[in-house]
Amino acid sequence: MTLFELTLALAIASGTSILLVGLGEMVAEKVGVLNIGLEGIMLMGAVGGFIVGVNTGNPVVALLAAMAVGGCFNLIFGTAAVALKADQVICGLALVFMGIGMSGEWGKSYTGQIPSGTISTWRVPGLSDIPVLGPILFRQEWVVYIALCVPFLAHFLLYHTRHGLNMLAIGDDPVAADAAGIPVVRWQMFYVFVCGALGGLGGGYLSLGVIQRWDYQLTAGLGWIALAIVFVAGWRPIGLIFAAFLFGGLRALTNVAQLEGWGIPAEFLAMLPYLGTFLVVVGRGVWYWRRPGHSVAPEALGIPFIRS
Amino acid sequence: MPDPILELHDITKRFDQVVALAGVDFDLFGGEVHTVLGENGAGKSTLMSILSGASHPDTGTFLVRGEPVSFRSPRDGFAHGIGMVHQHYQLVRTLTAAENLHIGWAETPLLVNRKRLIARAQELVSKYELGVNVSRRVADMSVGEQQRAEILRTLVRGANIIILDEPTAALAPQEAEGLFDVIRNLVGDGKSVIFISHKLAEVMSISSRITVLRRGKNMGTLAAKDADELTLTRMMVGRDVINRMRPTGSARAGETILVADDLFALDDDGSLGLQGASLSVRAGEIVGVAGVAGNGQRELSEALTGLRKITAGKITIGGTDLSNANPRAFLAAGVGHIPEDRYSVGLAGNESIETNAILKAFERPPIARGPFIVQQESRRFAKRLLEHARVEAKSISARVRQLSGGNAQRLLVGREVLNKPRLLVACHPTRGLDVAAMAEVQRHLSEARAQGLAVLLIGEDLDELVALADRIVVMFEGRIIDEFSSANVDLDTLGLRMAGSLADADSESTKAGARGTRH
Amino acid sequence: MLAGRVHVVRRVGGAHATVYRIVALVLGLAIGTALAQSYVEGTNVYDTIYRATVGSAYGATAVLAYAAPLTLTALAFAVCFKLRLWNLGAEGQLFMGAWAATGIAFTFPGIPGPLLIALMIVASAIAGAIWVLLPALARVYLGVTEVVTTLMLNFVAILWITYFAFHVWPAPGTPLATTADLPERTDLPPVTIGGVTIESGFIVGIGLAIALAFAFRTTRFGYSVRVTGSSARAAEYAGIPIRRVQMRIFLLSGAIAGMAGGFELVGSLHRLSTDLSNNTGYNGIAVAVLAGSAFAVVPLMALVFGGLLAAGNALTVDGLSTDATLFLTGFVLLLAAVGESASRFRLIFATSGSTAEAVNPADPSPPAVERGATTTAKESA
Repeated sequence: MTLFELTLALAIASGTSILLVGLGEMVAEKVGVLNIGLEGIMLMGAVGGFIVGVNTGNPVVALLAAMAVGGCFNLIFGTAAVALKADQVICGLALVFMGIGMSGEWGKSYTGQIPSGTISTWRVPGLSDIPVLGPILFRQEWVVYIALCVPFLAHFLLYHTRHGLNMLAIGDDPVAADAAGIPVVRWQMFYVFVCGALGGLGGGYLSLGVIQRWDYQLTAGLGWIALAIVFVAGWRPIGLIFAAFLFGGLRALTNVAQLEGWGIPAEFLAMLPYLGTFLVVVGRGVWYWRRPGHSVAPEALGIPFIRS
Repeated sequence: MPDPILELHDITKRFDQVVALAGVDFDLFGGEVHTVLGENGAGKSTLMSILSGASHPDTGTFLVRGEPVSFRSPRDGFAHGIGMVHQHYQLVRTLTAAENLHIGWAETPLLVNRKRLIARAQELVSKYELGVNVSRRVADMSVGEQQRAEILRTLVRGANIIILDEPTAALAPQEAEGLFDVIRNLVGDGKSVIFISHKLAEVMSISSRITVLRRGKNMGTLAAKDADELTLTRMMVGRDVINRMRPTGSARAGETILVADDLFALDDDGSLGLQGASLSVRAGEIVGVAGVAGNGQRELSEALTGLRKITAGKITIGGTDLSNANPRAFLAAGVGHIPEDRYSVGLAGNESIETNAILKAFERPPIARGPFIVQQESRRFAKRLLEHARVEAKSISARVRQLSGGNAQRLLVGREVLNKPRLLVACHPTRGLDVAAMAEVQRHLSEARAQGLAVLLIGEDLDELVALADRIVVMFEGRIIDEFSSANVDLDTLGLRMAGSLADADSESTKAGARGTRH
Repeated sequence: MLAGRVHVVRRVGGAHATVYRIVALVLGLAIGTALAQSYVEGTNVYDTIYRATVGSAYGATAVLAYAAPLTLTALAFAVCFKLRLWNLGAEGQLFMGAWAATGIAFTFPGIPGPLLIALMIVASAIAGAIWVLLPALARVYLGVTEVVTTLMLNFVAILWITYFAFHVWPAPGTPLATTADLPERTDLPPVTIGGVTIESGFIVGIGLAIALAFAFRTTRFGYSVRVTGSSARAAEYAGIPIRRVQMRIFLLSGAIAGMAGGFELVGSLHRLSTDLSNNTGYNGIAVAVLAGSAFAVVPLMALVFGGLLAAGNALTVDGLSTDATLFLTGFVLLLAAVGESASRFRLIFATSGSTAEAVNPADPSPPAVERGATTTAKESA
């Protein structure tokens, strides 16, 4: 693979992963739940999927396992923060610790192994042979295509279905939603699970996809970046795609620059994704300063629902 | 005689030590308007929450159409056709009325979008003549329209027993009349309405029967034609109360303290809240601001205390230009503020009474000494305040949120007055208070006036304004459109002004009804 | 499902509050220990834990060594938390503080010991404050969520340190990411009582905790912080300059976290490297939550948490991995959060028929969900 192709592959892999996790977080936030434990969820999904992948050799089953692990893991958060009304930020932080710890434990004996199955690549006949653009757009692992579809599904769900309307109501005013007859806690828990499942998938894709190994440094902050892109994209599903691949690209750039020996010290390159996230988040704040009506965050985000 | 569609027998409900309802009987017949009258704390809200399903009685039976029921949540109430419109509307502010109509409703189609919802809503709404713009976001609606939207939702979901909780609290006289027309229509259609209020006059005009609650007991149910104000008052309060104050002598007003000149300001949604409001207040006088909620009163009071920026105009207090100064500067200039929102603005609910008592005084001696707060002085101040304001509290370390509404307001008003401001801006200071607390607050305001303070009183109770104020100005759409002397004001004309009409009360041509003329 | 049957209602009166927090903590530790025992076969876990914490001078020293920086990072978080602001960046601020102190040590070789140490500590405080400055400004003036910004800078700080340790002040003869040892005069000697060594950082931490608790209650600034944290709108109404208060608190928080790095440097590690902190910043958050954000309680909880870490460390010999300790840390934090919630809310099970309420609806009290009155992390970026 040429360097360019390698960069691209990494960018797309990271971007896909970030996109999946970010989508999970977005739906949770749309119903008012702020879950910062994404890093832990990703690692749990990564290790769970990896273990199943090594033992079964079937990437599909492995990825499903990653989703299951992630979803169930996040239910711990859901029980504490949604059902028992504990502080969401602190529970999220606890989840990160637990996720890093638990996944490290599980993955210990699997470090260095390689899952025997690889995620197959889908080729669109004809189109994928176009030079340069072809492989980028039309020859990717199928997870990438799924990841690109989900935002559109989410958009449709939120803005064109009855259920989506109810979701928006929950996130903006759970007390009013409850008065109107919507079972608030039930849906919040459901989307906590979905957030976990997508987060687990994002993590599983890392360990089973392009990177293909287990190492507890695997996610290295991707979970936090996924959290940031939800803010950056203004809680809009389609916008999430651009944000995710932007940061995926930054991450890939880091690796490339290191390999190419561009003369910039590795450490500063490694800072790029984090500085980039920081600057974009602040930049968005500057852009929207004094522009009325810019806050598209769900009104009741982070506030536990208590029926008075 | 037909059977009642709702019956409550011997209902008792306690909250910890407090008995909210004791052995209450209540019934409702089809096609009637049954009003529940009582002071705050009498048990009206508790009774309603039991009827609607938000709460469950400790003892007693509840029958709907002859069948005993046991509601676990308001949804159960809905299922039996009981819908409640709360005083604090439960609509999602960021969504349109049409969307609010459809959330959590099984009959909403699976696939929807904004336009389709609006079309559907308009169809459903056309039956009820309620004057609601269903494509408008709730946040952009006036309080009256929000209320109508909520009534609409209750009706559309199939309620035939409708409970209205203090519905006229935020409506102008004309809008209230419009609401009564709506109620009469509903009853004409065979629905039943339970109306909760503590305002005698309107109750007499709309009810079929009236039940009076006092301290958790049913004091009796009368047919409206058999009731008169005096009897009802006696039942409500237990004695004759003349709760209308007479103005205390003519205005001995002194120098002009406040001059607000042509103020413009935006409201929270970015539209124009103040559109050239001008008024002035002199020392030793009370100027009342009458108007329907949502015409800029809040923006006015915030602008005059530094909590809101004005985009044009000038504010002068005691000769000093304070346009767009911060709250600190206004405080230093001697402006006291009794805010509309007593729990989230005027007081820090989670903090102790002591902390709240010194809220305006903590930066000055004797409470402040250098960077420190002298604990002894702080406690002394707080205790003095409790005494002076006659607040019933166990200690100064009790949390303010544990105080009843009346006590909290006494604390707030007492504090503002005790700080001896030059100008006192009071917004709806007696809203939601029981008779005793109300009289207390009115007394404070009168005393303030006697001591030479300039008082700006924003209120909705016209009787109170007329009784307390020397002059009454009317606020409409962000401007002061007329002024009256309280000694010879005609209430009907006042009502017309509040609705924006510049005609006189005896003119035939004005029929500015509440059917959504303004909004 | 259960969700429909369980009602959570605000609890009135705070007498039981602390009880729930303590119960949660004890429960977490008990479960953790039990899990550890089931995991490690052959050895008596309770023995090891005892010896590693309070049972020996060595153990006590270890606990105190952990507790020293934890106290400071916990105080840093708690200070911000009084205003419902989330400074998750203590980790990064700690490192930057240590970096600044190192810089001072290497740049001014001529200055006598005690003065140098004092300068280093001051520099670490300033560096920590500077590191939180941008996120603070973005939050206070632009409403940008500090959760993301402070976090991102943590990663940047670690990389910054790594760069300096490898390229600018590298330690000769070792491939590890660390600087050379700092000159001996920068060693801040600890206090030794009866064989137990107490790092000066801990003593400073205790002093700071007491000072903060005192200031919070008796100064005008402390009053402003209390009111602003309780109700921003009431604070504005009272004329309190909210933004100035927020900025000052952020900077104070950053400075304290920076000092944690400084003290770790002069009192413990004596060289700049990524070893300086093993999640100390994040663990500090856990300690603060355990302490209910009460300043005076923080040192105590730092000791408890230090005990947890020391025990976990000792148990690695018996076969318990560091990952498991990390998991338990998270678990204890989770329980602490739930305990905190239990102290404020009551669970009521709606059995068939009773929808109980603990708040009298007739009383015009403030609504249970304070919409918009609290400053949460949801403020849009």
